[in-house]
Amino acid sequence: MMSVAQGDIAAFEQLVNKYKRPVINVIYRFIGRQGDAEDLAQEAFLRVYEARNRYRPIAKFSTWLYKIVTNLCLNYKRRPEPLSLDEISVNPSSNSPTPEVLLESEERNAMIRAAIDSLPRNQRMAIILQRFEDASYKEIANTMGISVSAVESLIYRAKQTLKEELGPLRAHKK
Amino acid sequence: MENKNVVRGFSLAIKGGRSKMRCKEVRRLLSAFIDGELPPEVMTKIEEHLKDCASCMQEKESILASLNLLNESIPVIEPSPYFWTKLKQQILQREEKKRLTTRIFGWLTYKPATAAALAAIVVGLFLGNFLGKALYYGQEITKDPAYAEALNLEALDDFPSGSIGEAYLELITQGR
Repeated sequence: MMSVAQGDIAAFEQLVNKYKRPVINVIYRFIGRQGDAEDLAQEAFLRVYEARNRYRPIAKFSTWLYKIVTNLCLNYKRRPEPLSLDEISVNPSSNSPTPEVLLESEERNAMIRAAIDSLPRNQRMAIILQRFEDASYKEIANTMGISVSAVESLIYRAKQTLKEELGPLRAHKK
Repeated sequence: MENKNVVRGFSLAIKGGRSKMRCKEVRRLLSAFIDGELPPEVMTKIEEHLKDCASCMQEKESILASLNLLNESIPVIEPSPYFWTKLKQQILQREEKKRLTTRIFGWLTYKPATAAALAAIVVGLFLGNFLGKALYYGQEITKDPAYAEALNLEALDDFPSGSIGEAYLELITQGR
């Protein structure tokens, strides 16, 4: 990052290649749209590049990066477009599923997506960072600019909501 | 230690000297327990409680099952192969835009006296243009015969020869 601060675009390319996959996936899990996720990821890296002269190696670079990503996600406004079938994920473990299984899988995934979308944005981001990025409460607190106890509270409430929303699916799975 | 915040108000089992935690306390801490964010002694207490409490164990399993559904249903997506190309293009475009802006206006931020002088010239040009137009229109008006008639400028001409006015003027100017 210090090389990038001096305007080294080749160094920036290395940085982007290292972080683009996790960044896109955090955003995708938050907003549920792959196209928009890539656009927001691009914007996140653009902001990193434009702020390169202000970067100070006080904290981890990833914390700084995810702070930018979090701000973009929390301010994201969904475009009024209908979801395409491509954006409804299919269970990757299925092998040659029948149409009935596919439909059931799509409905299931849509329910899970709806459960995530029902979470307030702060709760959603906290649970995504903890669950999918294995971030500690302290790292999440630094990223979101809140206290550790606030992170604990957000994640606790998110899990309670998910448990209630996904109860029928858990029962069906059994 | 930051974990103290997590168990704030709920570490009664340890402070109070009780060997077992109550279900209400355990349930409040289950989320942090699942995430491994509790001090070791509290983790141990909760594990002991879960061994003997089917209800709390059920609660823990429900939470875990819901979280596992998230992992199973949301796939990991791969970035587009053109991600860097597109990003680099945007970077270069923004840098070029910044360079042009700096070239046109950037020197103003470094030479405030020059900026002030330029501002004065602009204001002066504007005022001058305004006054000039006012004078021009003024001149145009005075060329109009109707304007001269309205002012009755004939009153300034000499009195006609043999007129009463001429005689009067001669009378009052005699002896001066």
